[in-house]
Amino acid sequence: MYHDGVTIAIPNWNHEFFLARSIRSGLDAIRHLGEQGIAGEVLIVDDLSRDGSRPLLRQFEARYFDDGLRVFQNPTNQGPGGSRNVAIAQARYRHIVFLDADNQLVAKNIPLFHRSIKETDATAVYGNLLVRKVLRSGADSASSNEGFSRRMFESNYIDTLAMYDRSHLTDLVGFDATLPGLEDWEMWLHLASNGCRLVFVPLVFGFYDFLPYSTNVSVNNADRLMARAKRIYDQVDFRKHAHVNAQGLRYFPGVGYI
Amino acid sequence: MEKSLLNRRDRARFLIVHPGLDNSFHRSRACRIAEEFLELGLGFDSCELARIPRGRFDLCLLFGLSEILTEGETEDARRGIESARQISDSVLSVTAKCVHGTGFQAHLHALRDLGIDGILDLGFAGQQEHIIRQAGLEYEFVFDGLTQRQLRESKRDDDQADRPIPWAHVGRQTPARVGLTARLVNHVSGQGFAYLPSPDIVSAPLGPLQMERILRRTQCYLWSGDDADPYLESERFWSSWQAGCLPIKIVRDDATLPDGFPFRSRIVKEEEVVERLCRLDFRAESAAFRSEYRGHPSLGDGLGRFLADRGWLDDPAERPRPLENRAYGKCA
Repeated sequence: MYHDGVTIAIPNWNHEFFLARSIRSGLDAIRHLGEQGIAGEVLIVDDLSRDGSRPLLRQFEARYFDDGLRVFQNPTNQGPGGSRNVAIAQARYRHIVFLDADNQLVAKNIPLFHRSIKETDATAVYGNLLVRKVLRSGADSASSNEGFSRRMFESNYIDTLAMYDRSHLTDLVGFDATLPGLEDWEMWLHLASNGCRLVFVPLVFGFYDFLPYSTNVSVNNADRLMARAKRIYDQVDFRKHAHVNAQGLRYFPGVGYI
Repeated sequence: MEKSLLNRRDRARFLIVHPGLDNSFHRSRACRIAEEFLELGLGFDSCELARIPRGRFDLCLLFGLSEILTEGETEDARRGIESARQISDSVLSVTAKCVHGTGFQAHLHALRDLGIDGILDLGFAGQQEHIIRQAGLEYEFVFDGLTQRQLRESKRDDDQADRPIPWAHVGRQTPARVGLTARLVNHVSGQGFAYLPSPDIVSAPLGPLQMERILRRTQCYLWSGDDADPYLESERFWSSWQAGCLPIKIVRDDATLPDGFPFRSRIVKEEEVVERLCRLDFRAESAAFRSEYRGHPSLGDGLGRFLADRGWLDDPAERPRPLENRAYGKCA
């Protein structure tokens, strides 16, 4: 059921002007995987975009289908969590990378993350995400830059851009599709609370462009969502005393756990 | 863990006190001093701060004091320091920090409050002018050269192919460090080791043993300071020596290096780092770095001079050495 390889999943909702860049980095990644004999594909899940994404994606698919690009159009808007769940269901390969359409991979590192997730048998491996402001070339902050800690139950510092074992995500029923935002944070808490191994690999995974009006920035009921997460995962403030399998795990390919 | 050795010279008595954390740079520094005491034929006691022994000592060296006092257990730490003070004629806090660095003023205040006599500064360049001006404490500078063990174990494989990690960039996250990491990824290689934890660090820091495992697979070890002073963090240099990689201290573009500063070829301005790495000749630069390091005084030489100046040791230049090969050591 799960073929060895990597699916680069790109959920898109009205990111017409960034698609070419993210798709290019995804195609580069599967080319690097292919050089090491690892199968790969780029799967775009368009969430009923209303900008020019859809005709653009049809053109991309026609041009790059043979290079491993597939496009799936949601018939109705599913939201960020729902679109990721569609990707989990539609992906061909065992491991899946969630690359938001406005972000960019460091393509050459994807084989190293694949090696890391196989060697650690982790549910997810993630690496540094360098954050830059839109239309600026330089980065000035980083996220996903440390091992998982209990502080995650208070605030998020790990982005969704990571490589996951699709079989684990399926067992744990994927993302909470009812959330209008913060579904990435909720997923990390879900995985950690269910004993999954979440491993930080100190490589750069990609670049994150901080955009005005991005989904999470524009969520206007973040406090309610955070309260909901608190209710689910740490209602009695006990989490800091509980064992977390993922606590502080760091791994580097060729070196081991550090 | 506690260990005692008889002072073979039956003269001065020394006490080395470390914080007690197994995988910490403070413990590594304390171990290096202890190794060199043994090489000098000196006996000493060593202990954790919570286990100060009985007895009487001429000199007590305290490691990791500022961290001990700022990371909890303060009352226990104060009691330990007070005990050490009561049984020692002289108590020095061993530091390896830039005097202009974050937290150093707090460290000086803590020393004054605790009645510590002064600072033993392990580094590559003395900072006494600043120290004396700021605190009026005793100040001793010891060149933090290689230990005899490090010199004996100096043979390393220079084969670049065994070092698949082109660069390792390590430090607390700042905009400048993140920006440099982006340039390294875009223009040198994406496959470097980047560890830039947030200022409110939430996970356990990388200790010396973990760093050595990374650096043994790395070509260049990069780091930068938080301030304008071109201070050289000596432990990063001896970590590089042990692991066989090349250290590169990154300084601001407007930094000026004082005359006589060591390892000038290992200090690179921020705007020049990318170009420097792109034209790296690992084997040649590694040979030059190791040659220069061997040419500087060893840690034992520096300690011997300091102890002799205090009358706790015969003039090290005139006394027999436990090791034959001392050709590389020279005291300034």
